[in-house]
Amino acid sequence: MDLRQARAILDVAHSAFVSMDEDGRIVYWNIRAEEIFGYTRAEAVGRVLADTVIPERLRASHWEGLRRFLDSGEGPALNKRLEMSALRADGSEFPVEITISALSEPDGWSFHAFIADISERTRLEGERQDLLDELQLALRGTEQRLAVIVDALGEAVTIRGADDHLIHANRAALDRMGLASVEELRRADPRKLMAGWETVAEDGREISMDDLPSVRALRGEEPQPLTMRSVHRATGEEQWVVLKATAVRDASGAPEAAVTIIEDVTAAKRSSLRMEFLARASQVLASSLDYQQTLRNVAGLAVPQIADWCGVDLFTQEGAREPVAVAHVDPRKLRMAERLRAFDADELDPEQGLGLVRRTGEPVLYNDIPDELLVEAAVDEEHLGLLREVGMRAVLIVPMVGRGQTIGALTLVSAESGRTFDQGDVEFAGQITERAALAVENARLYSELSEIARTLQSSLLPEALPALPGWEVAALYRPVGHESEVGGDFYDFWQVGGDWLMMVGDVTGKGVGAATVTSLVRHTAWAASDFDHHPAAVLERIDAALKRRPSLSVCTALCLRLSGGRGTLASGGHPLPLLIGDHGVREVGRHGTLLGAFSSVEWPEASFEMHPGETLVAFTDGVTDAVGRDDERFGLERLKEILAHMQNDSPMAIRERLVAALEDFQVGAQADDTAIVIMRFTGAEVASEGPAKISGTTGVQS
Amino acid sequence: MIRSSPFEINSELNGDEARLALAGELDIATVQRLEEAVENVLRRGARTVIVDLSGLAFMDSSGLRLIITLNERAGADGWTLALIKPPRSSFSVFEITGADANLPFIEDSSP
Repeated sequence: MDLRQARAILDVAHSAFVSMDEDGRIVYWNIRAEEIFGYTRAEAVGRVLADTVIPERLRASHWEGLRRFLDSGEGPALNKRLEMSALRADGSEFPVEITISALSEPDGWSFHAFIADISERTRLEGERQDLLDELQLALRGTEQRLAVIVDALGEAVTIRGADDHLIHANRAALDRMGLASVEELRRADPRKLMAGWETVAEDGREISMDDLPSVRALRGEEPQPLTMRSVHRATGEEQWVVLKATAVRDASGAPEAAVTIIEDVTAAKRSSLRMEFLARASQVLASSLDYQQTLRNVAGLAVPQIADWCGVDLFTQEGAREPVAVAHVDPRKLRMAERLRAFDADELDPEQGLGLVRRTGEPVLYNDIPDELLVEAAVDEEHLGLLREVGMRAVLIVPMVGRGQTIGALTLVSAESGRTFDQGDVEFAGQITERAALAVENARLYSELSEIARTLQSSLLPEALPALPGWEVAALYRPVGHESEVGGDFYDFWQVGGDWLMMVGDVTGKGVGAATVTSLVRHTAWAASDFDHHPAAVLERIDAALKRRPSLSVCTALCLRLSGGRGTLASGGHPLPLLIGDHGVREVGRHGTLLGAFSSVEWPEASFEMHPGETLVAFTDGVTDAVGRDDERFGLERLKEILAHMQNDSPMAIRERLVAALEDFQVGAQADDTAIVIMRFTGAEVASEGPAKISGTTGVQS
Repeated sequence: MIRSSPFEINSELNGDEARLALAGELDIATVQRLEEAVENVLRRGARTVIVDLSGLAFMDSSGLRLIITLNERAGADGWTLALIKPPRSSFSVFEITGADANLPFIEDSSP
């Protein structure tokens, strides 16, 4: 894609996009910017940005920030979402959300901003407050007026009277409670209504009616919003909600009613819980090569947040079941599980449960398990009694697939929490088993003492280079030293949504220690990118994971995201990649902090556009630090010089040339591991075939 | 390997303050000598160790890693590490890793 095409795309973007040079003049202005600011492109380009869109009182700090960045490279306002005021051509001010990035170009810095007009959102937030105020008034007015106002609101709203009875609920709230009318609501005993749900706070503490913000507001307190998990006993549906209540006071100031807005935050809450779990599970999985212990630890992490029970089984080559772990928060219940185990049949039934999962390699989900099923499964009365005592509501069994084989399964059971599982749970469990399977595979590889280094090394690198649509890729990996040693350099490619992520890194040290850290870094990167695929966010998670290790574990890594020809990258103390283009060879990206080492950290992201025929070369310091005659180092300049002559060569040819150059240059033994990834953008559009990950593991089936 | 700029450590101990002036190349082949030299002055009673990098011709990531390790160890064991900046050429390893904002660099105040 060339610049013209890129700009054509920016012209249809929903956000305004504005570029500025280092003198503060506007150099680009898209159509949306014309709309929100009221200047045409012809009017805007060439003008001083600050005098055009920044309110006068904020201009001094804009210039100060620009000067500071150009002097020191510090840009605290860069690459983050900021809210501020902007100026229209007619002189009116309006609120905007803005994200600025800086790009180093041959003729100086350029600054690029995506700007969204958030007047609407700000207005809605204001409206919500107005609504609460209005409700206070309305309570004194006619009921009809009240109902009209609150029914219009999409969120559930309830009003509780001074005697704790609910006196009104809007449509959304009635639906939530499964009630047909406000009359029905008024007749209901509030405690009985609440008993329809199992409600717990974020820390697992049970919520009683006296903890509800509305009840506390009626007692004259000023309650904080309450976040709680509620499981509807009848349907098993789990929801996370935030309750916010305000008291309505009578003329003397005493609370006469409390208005509650119930916000459904299930999606956000689940996603953050799962991210936390995956990050911790990745850490556990990478922590030890004793995979039995490791799987027990992962099962322990899963309860009670993910499920009430969590079991892990491995399958032997012959198809027998090898129970590895079963976890529950209550040790008494664990003894029940041991007694149940005694009833397990010697052979798995290929038509149900674990046997079915093993045979098909597909997850199996049983929601709302009826008693008949237990009767059918039980071998005798004692067995049936135990099964009934567990009180299973739902069971989810997900395969662990390693090297194309179902090597085991993870079983999640919902019992006393009463919740059911949905498709989101199936996918999430798939992400856990994918990582667990990889850990088991890695550990089994370790135990094969012969070939340890070779097999492990290959497990830490992609099995094969991916077929990236529109790219040609070649890579070089040369560990130093004896064959039995595992190197600390690595690279990886994986797909997230429609984008590709590429990572090159260097873990200090060698051998099993370095391999464990490499494995942790890669697992963490995969887990992190599932939730936030910004390179800086991925590096931040890796940095946090390394810092949790008991001993100092340091790593450099470059993380690059590719969307077609557009690259976004961040460096964690890693040498920046080189871009070979029409105008020679240049470094792209900005330096960021080494991972796992420091308390003051910064990972600025930089974006750039690759044009067809351009090539990106990422490398580790084993290349530039290679030692030649008279202690001379290979160095960055020599690397650039070689690449400058290879503008028209394929990645494979560049790879061969670099290998030859390094071998010619080097005197004595190679001192450090060397990794190079070479990617040439051809621009050819090829349909992508869904998510893939190039590594020693198989995708999740769900 | 023959080294044209041999690695040297010039070590001085005054009271409880040690000063280690480095010359040559601090890399995977020489880091161990610096580690031993630091241990040596700590054994002899140093509570402050100044490592002068200004005479270095080159430093690689293993050198950086040792310095980070020494800095952590100083924090844990209750002694003080101070560093004098190396020349530009060997400084790139600090710049690209953000170490310059995180390690205890001081201005050289020696005569």
